[in-house]
Amino acid sequence: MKKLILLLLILAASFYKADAQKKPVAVYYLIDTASIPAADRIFYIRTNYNTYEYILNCSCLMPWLSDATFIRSVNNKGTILTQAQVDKLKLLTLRELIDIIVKYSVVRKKENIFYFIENREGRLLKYKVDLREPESEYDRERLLIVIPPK
Amino acid sequence: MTLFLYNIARAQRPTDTLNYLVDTAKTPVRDRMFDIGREGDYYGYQLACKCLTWQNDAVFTYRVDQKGTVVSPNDLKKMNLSNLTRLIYVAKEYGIYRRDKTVFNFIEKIGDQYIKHRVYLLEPRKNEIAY
Repeated sequence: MKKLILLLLILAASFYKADAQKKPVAVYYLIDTASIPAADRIFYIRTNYNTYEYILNCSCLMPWLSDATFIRSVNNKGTILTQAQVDKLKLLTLRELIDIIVKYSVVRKKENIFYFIENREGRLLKYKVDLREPESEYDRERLLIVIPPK
Repeated sequence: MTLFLYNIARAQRPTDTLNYLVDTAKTPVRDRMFDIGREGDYYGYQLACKCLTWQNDAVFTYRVDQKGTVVSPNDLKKMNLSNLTRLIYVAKEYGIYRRDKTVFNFIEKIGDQYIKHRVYLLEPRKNEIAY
């Protein structure tokens, strides 16, 4: 009986640990395309029916080297943040963001939750966004969401 | 036969030109994509896009002793400048097909004037990233 309890305890501990490792980390990125010169912008933002899309034209996602699309619902109102709250957050650089999504496309394990912070008429709004699964050029043509590079 | 070979050589020659103005100073630090530095006899521009095969970054280089051409601001306005999206797209195409279709020219602002250099895109290498 003692042995059984010990075994159960070990099992429970290991499950607990595995569960703790799985918990995704929240990451924040401040989208501020207005301050970047037009030629150097690689984020394209638009609405497509009822989804709001942030398209990162990095050609970086495996296995098709496709662009990354972050989506959220148009109805998502977001939460208002103050400047002090944003200063406290650890914001990602664009490179770190690309590293994370490339790693996700290779390993296919959701380790992060993405939050984008937007500046809308002086108000800072936080939105939870999802990374769309990488899609091939064929899929993009089929869905008619091709963005021809200039 | 000679004509045939000549045609093949002609077909493989780069046909397209891409001019890009490297101006990282205007972009906020968080959003900068370029790492510029000198390594030995080469200047390198590392574009951290992970867009070549094996998750490589696109690295453009030119030799230190290569003299660039001076471009006046008036000429720059007439020039057909590309954007970063296009640059990444072309680099990706090279990573897949390994065909030199494009001549890359990078323009940098040094003091008052602009200097144009022809740069070469390095081939992607297989590396050991433990993902």
